[in-house]
Amino acid sequence: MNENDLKDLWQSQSAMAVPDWKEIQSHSAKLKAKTRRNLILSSILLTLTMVFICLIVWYFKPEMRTTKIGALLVIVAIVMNLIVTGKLLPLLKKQDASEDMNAHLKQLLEIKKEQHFLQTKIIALYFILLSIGIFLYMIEYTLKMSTIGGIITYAVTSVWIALNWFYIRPLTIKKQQFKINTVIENLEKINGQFEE
Amino acid sequence: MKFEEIYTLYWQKIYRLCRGYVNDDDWAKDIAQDTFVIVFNQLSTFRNESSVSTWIYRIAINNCLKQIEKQKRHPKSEAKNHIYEVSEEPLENKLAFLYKCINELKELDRIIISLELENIRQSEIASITGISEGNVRVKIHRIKEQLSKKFKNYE
Repeated sequence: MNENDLKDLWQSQSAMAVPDWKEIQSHSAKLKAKTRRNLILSSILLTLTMVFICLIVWYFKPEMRTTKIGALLVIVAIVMNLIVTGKLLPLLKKQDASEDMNAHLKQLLEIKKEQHFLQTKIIALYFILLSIGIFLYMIEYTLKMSTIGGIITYAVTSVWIALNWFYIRPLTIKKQQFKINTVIENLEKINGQFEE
Repeated sequence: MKFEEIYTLYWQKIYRLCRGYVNDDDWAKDIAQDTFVIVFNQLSTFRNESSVSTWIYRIAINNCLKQIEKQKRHPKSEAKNHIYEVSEEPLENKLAFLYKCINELKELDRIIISLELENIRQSEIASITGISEGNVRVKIHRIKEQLSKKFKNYE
C-alpha cells in the first residue's frame, strides 16, 4: 500500500453525519452553567460551615481562650482547604488551549506537579490544624466533667484523630497521588517523545 | 470566518484526528465536541497570529493530551480495536486496521501521521506540534515505513 492509498483510505472515513452545530452551542452553555453552579454551591457550603461554628461559639459563650482559638483553628483549616481547592481552578484555567503541543505538554506537566505538591502539603496541614483546634476547643467543656468523663472524652477523641492521621490521611494522599502520579508519568513519557 | 463554516469544514478532519489518537468512535466524538466548544467560546479572541487550521488543530491535539486523565473511564477502546476482524466490508476492515496500526504508535507519532494523512503541510505540522520541520520529516518517513510493513503483512 503506497502513500496515496493510505491518504485515500484515511480520508474515506467521512460518511459519518456531522452533528448539528447547535448541539455544540447548547453543550457549551450547559458546561458554563455547571461550573457556575459548582462554584455557588461550594461558596454556600463554606459560608454555612463558618456561620454554624460561629453560632456554636456565640451560643455556648465560652469563657476560656483555648475554646475560641480552637474554633478559630477549625475555621482556618476549612477555609484553607477550600481556598487551595479553589486556587487550583485558575491554575487550570491559565492553560492556553491553542499553544503548540510541545509547549502545552510542558505547561500541563508543570500544573500537575504543582497540584501534586499542594495536595500533599495541604492535607497534612488541614489535619494538624483540625486536630489541634478540636483538642483546644474541648478543654473548657472537659474541665466541667468528672475526671473519668474527661479521660474518656479525650481518649475517644484521640483515637478518632489517630485514626484520621494514621489511616484516613495516608489513604487519601495515596489515592490522590496514585492518580496524579500516573498522569505525570504518562505526560513525561509523551514529553520524552519530543526528544527522540 | 463564522463558527458554522469552521464547524462544517473541520468536523470530519478533527474527528479523524481524534479517532486516530484514541481509536474509539464515541470517545473521538466526545473529544471533537469538546474541541469545538473551545473553538466556539474562543473564536472572538482568535487573532490570526496563526492560520485558523493551525489554531483548531492545536486545540484538538491539546484536548487529546488531556485524555490521559480520562483513560480509565474508557477501557472499552481495547475491545473495539478488533472490529476490523468481523466487518464484511473490505474497505471498513482496512480502515479499522489503519486505525489500529496508528493507535499502536507512540502518542506524538499518532498525531503527526494523522496530520500528514490529512494533507497538512510539514511546516504546519511543525508549528502545530512544536517540533522542527526536519524532525517532522524524519518522523513521517519512519512512521510510514512502519505502516507499510504492517499493511504488507495484512495483505
